Amino acid sequence: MNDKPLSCTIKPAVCVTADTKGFHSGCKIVDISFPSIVNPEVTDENVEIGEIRFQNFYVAFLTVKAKIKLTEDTPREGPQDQGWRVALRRFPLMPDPHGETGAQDSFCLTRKHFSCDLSNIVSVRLILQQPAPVWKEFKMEELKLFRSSNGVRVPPLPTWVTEDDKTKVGKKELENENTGVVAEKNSRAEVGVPDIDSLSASLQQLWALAEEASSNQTEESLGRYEVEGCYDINLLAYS
Amino acid sequence: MADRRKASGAAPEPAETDRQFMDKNNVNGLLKDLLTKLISNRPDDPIRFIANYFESVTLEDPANDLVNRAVQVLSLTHHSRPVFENNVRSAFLILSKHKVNKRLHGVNGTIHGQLMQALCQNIPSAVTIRLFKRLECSEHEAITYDVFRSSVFTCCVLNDYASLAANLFTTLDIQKTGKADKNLCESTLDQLRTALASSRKDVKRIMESSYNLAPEGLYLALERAYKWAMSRRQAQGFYTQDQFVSEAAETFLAKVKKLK
Repeated sequence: MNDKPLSCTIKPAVCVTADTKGFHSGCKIVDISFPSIVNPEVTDENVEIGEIRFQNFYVAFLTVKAKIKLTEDTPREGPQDQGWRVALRRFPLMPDPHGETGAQDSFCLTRKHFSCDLSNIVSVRLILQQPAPVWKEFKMEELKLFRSSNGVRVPPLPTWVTEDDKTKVGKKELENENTGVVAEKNSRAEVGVPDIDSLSASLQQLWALAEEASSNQTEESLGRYEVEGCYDINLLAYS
Repeated sequence: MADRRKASGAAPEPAETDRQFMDKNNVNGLLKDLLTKLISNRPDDPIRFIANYFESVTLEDPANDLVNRAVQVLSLTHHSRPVFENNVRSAFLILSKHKVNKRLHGVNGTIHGQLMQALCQNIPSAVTIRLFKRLECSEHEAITYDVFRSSVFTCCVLNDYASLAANLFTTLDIQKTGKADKNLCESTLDQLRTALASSRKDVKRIMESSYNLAPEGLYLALERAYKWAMSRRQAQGFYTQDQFVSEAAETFLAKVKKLK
């Protein structure tokens, strides 16, 4: 699992405009191409996207389209099919386009969000939409694509947990071995292996009970004046 | 008979007589009490619980043994339930009717000892002797409620503890011959001892002990003990159930504070 972002070329955003001056369409297109197309030796042939990370800047909706290589596994779906697949359609980044919420958040879109598998990709097109006229400028910052979805690493388990697994695996073998050895060596008194789980359960219960009892001991005194050894018969004889 | 009927028939409201009858015998109060007890105790076997309850109620004539009544009250609930506290309180009240001399009533060492004996009937005597060494009071000593509660609780928990230990023994007794392998028993008891030796403040020790008592930790310990025994080629000894229970109870008793 590599944490390095995929090498790709992100083209500057193109604003969708009509010819009329000052027309604000609220829609931008970002094209991403992969160098592997130009130079297949740089990376693996199969470009696969597992994760898209970016910081939002006033983009309200995001649509992700991907152009995949048409192969036997992914056949043409119609006569007009150029291989474009929609991975994400109008995904809301800001709950309210006019508001500020989510406007500058960091996003991490993973396979869970994508409606199709992003593999064998030729290029990716991101369509950014901001219908609100209040935000003139909108873009995505620090856009990065990753192959694996495991960007957020789960902290490693404590060593003894993993050790456990090993011993657990080994346990059965040992158990078999144990009984085997015992059967060989000591046929007179056959020592088996008790049910470890129930053993452990009852030991834990015993522990709990003892703790319960000890926490319920009284601190009150009955008013005894005995000090250890003060009623020793020898001492009393002298006094 | 006929006269009586006439008399009751002559009463202004015959419906009232039923109520009067109930009130006179406090049946309502009794049933209410029973229902509250039943609900708060939530016994596994409600019918038996009701039977026991009425038994204890009918026994309630002054001639009856105070200790038995107290034991019955205490056995209404398991000690882990909050109601147990109430029951201990009422047991204490019952026992405080104990006559010390002509003018003095109260719980003293004698009746306290009797109650403990009664509570620990099912525990092997080897254990109870050691328990009483710690909790026994001499005759002249007046027992305060706090002390009473503590020792009663200890007895009840010890009861559970002993039966659990006996269960544990049957687990260890693989061949079901009534005799379990000595090495096995000893290493199990060792684990228990180390766990109990950890003080409740030392978090690290508690974590360690709980790991040691988990199936994996236990397995490793048993494995170690087994290998060690094998290398020593010791003569195989056995533990009987009573031996095992009293050994296990020893660790428990170490937690019981001696009364002062």
